[in-house]
Amino acid sequence: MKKCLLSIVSAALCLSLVMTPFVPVAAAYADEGSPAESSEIYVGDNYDENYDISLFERGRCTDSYSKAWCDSHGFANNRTVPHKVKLNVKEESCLRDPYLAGTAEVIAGLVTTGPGGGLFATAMTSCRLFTCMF
Amino acid sequence: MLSQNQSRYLTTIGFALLALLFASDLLLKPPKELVLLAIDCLSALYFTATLFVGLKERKKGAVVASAVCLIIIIASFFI
Repeated sequence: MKKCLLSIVSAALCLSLVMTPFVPVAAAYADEGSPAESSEIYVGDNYDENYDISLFERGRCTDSYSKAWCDSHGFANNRTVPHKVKLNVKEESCLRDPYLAGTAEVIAGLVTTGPGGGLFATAMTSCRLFTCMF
Repeated sequence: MLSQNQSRYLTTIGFALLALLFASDLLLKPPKELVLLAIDCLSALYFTATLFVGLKERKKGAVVASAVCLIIIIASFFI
């Protein structure tokens, strides 16, 4: 009887020791099945998903991934994800100008009136880009 | 490159006009389109001036650079 009890206790102990590393993993798997609605965050009454996104709010999770993916990967509040963001039409049109006209102006400024002209053209191009973007 | 005197003169006027534009943009808050148009006009004016001074001083490089830049600025109005 004593031997029997000892073997049962030791078997239980062995089993618990062997299974310990898998418990958190199993718990995580069990948690994944929970509905996404439970983790929803209040974003205000006037929240509109189709509003015009400002430059500082670019790259939000749902801009690139599905809502389900964002909810399950810790982005339920739709915070920004660190990754490259495709430029929108406005940004592309604003950048096209410094690429072409801005570069030409800086080179022409340097050729015609020297370093002062180059500096002036750079200031003008930066001013134009800033006004266009903001 | 144009003569040092003319260059200094043109650059100073350019910077003064740009500063004036920046100040009026901050104080009067005109529509964005107007500000962008004013900056384009300012750059066109600057390179027209360098073109004329280049022609007067017979500086081929300055004339070519100013003419090319003017064409690009005028084209950027329509793109």
